[in-house]
Amino acid sequence: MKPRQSRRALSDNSKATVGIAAGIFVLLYLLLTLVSPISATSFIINNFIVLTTPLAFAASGVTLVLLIGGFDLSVAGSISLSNVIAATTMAAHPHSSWGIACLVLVMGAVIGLVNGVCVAVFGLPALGVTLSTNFILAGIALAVLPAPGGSVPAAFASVLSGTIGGTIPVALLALVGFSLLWLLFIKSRTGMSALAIGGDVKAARLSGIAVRRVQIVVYALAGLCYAAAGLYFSALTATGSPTSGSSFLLTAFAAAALGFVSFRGGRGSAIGAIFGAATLTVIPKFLFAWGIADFWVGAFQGLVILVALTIPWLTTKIAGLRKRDGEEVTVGSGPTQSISAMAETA
Amino acid sequence: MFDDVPFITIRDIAKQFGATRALDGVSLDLRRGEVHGILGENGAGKSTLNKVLAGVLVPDTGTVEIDGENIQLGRPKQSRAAGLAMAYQELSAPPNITVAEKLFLPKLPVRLGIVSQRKLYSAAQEVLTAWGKPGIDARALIASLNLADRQHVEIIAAMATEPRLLILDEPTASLPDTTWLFDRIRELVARGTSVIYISHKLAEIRAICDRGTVLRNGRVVKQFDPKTADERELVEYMIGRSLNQAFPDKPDRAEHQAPLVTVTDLSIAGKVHHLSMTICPGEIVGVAALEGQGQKSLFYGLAGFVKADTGSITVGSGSTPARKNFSLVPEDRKTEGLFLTLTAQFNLTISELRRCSPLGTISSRKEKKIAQGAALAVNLPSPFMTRDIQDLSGGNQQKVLLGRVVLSAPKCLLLFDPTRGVDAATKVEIYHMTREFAQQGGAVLIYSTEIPELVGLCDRAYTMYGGRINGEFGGETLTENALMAGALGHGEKVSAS
Repeated sequence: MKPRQSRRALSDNSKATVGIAAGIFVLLYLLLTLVSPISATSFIINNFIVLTTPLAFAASGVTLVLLIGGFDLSVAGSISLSNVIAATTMAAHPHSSWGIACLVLVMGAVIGLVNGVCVAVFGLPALGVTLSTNFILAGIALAVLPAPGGSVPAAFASVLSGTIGGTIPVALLALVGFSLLWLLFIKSRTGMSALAIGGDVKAARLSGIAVRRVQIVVYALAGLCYAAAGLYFSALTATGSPTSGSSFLLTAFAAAALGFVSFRGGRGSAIGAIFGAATLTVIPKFLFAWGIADFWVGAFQGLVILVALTIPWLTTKIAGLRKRDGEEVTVGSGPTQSISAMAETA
Repeated sequence: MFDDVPFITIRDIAKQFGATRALDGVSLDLRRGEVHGILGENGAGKSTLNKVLAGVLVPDTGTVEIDGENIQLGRPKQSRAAGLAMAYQELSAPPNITVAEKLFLPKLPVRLGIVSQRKLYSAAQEVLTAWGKPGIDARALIASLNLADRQHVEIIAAMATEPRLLILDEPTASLPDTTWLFDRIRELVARGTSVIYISHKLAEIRAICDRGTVLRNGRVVKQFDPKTADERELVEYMIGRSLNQAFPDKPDRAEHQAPLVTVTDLSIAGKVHHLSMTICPGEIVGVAALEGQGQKSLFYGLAGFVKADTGSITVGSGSTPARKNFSLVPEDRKTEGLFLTLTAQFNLTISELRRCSPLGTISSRKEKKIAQGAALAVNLPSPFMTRDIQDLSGGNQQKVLLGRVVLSAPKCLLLFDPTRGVDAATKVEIYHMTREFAQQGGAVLIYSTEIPELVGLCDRAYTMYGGRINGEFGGETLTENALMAGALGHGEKVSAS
């Protein structure tokens, strides 16, 4: 048997998928500027980035949980609750907005911690646990703010949705900063362990990884991401709504899929998911520019996801054809594996 | 070389899973620098003992001491800290990490909290070189390695921790030869490491071990000196009965019989190449091969789960519907065969619901009757019928699967490693059921990881290597040595001599 060795390490593998995710977004945005040249102005670009940011954070949180082979539906409830708490308490104490924002982030992490403990320590199914916490959080959000209302101080909102020196969007800085944090995380022992757990939880345990601890940390970090998404959404809308998170539930997973995050665990990057979120956000703009009615948005988003997912599948097929011509093809090289494996089981 | 007092003391370890008593009070002593062989069949409790020592499983009772220091069991971290290291039979590396990462898990070298890539890979390559495998690339993904190199990495990862007690669980299952492994073991032992060497291959235990222990059904049944022990006697301790009784008699065969199953020039997905074989009615034909030589594709291809690229498979006159030709008992009964959360009865009848639903809905009376008939055929006690299958022992689970495939009355039974994780008594029952099926005119194709089983049970056997059949053995030529040599790729030479 001839050893088939791939020189690509894991990080390179994610780089390729992130590249494809970014490429799809850039292509769509360039097309948008062709249809509507105004989209290339810095004002519109800033608006677009601000609009993308809440979904980007939500998708990043989902990516974290998917990475360890878990699932998290509490994304919606967490965002709603963060939003209504920010909108009500900030309205009451406009001068301590930033302190409140920090508390909301802590609350998100605690919610994630509870999810993580239920899944990792009690061994409950992630789907059931997070479905329940999602309902609970949505219920609390309704109790805090039964109807849309409240407000977020302009001072707080304008910083998050504004620019520095009129050129650099704060939201962009937030996303770039977050991406750097992600790169650090994935290179830490915890991040490495998270990948290994997603790859094979049993093997990870046998290799001496503290599986439960890592799972809890990952769920808590995901909760933190959802709270960040809720805060950014609050800044974006400057108001609160008890159902604000529900639209993020499916789109967060869709963005992760567009970012080529494996739903079976062990592969994926939050940076890819951020580009996935941007792609999902650019589609309605595109349709609007074309003058296509709003209710086609969902259908187009679905279509784009489907097309995106076939790109790695196509590369596998092409690689397979080459192989039949007698060429040696290495396994585990490139993005194709995770996605095609994902497609097989989905 | 080292003092003679026990260095590692294992006392009275017991562990029960549902109805199965996997370990029933196992005690062992090891001296410093001793290599201690543990012999036992599949299901004897070897792997469970391992996992208890590694801290992965919490035993019901028992203690382990190293150098007078009591180890808290059930905590992997404690076991590691106490100097225990283990190479698992199932290879414990997640497929999506690199060789270097596996070697240093769970304590990857970090700088300021970040895993230092440069340090990681250079250190890993040094480790690989130091342990005699410089050819393995530290940056390669585990998934990209062949099985032998995965096993090398698994073993090196355990050895590189310089443990006080190293446990090797079937370490040669995927290795081409034992030279590398035995040299490394000798180096470690010279430095004072004690080794538990678990295997069902007596020759290896003889070659490397100072003392040996036979485990059967979770108990220590025999301590022996590997250099002098009688092979036949040890095998009888392993299976718990005299060898002559274990396997049913092989009937005399007619010289020129028309085959029931004829496979011609079969190729499957790059795993099986131009393979031809025949199976006569009433014949049990064995396949011996190392892991991953295409045998799985062959079995699953015959069963119709994998599509063949070329070649033909004919059964009898070819007039019966294809689904009646073959029935497969798959490799992993838990994931491929059984509905774990449902009852034994459901698991028995699920393939034959047609027969218990004359009017479209399932008649529970008919289902029960059919299930009872099948249970009787495979000697499954009827109180088990209403129990969830996951609560039954491995042996009884396997009987249910056998009952299911026999119920479908195939022309040819495909058994893929049917005695894996099955207790010794049930194994013997399975041998007899297989023979009985053959005697009623059926054909049987069986693959087993245990060569002696093939020699004892089969009328004829093929060896497979690299997706091709490289040897055929029957009658006098059907010996363990011949099958082993064939499986290692020397088939033609042996069968010719």
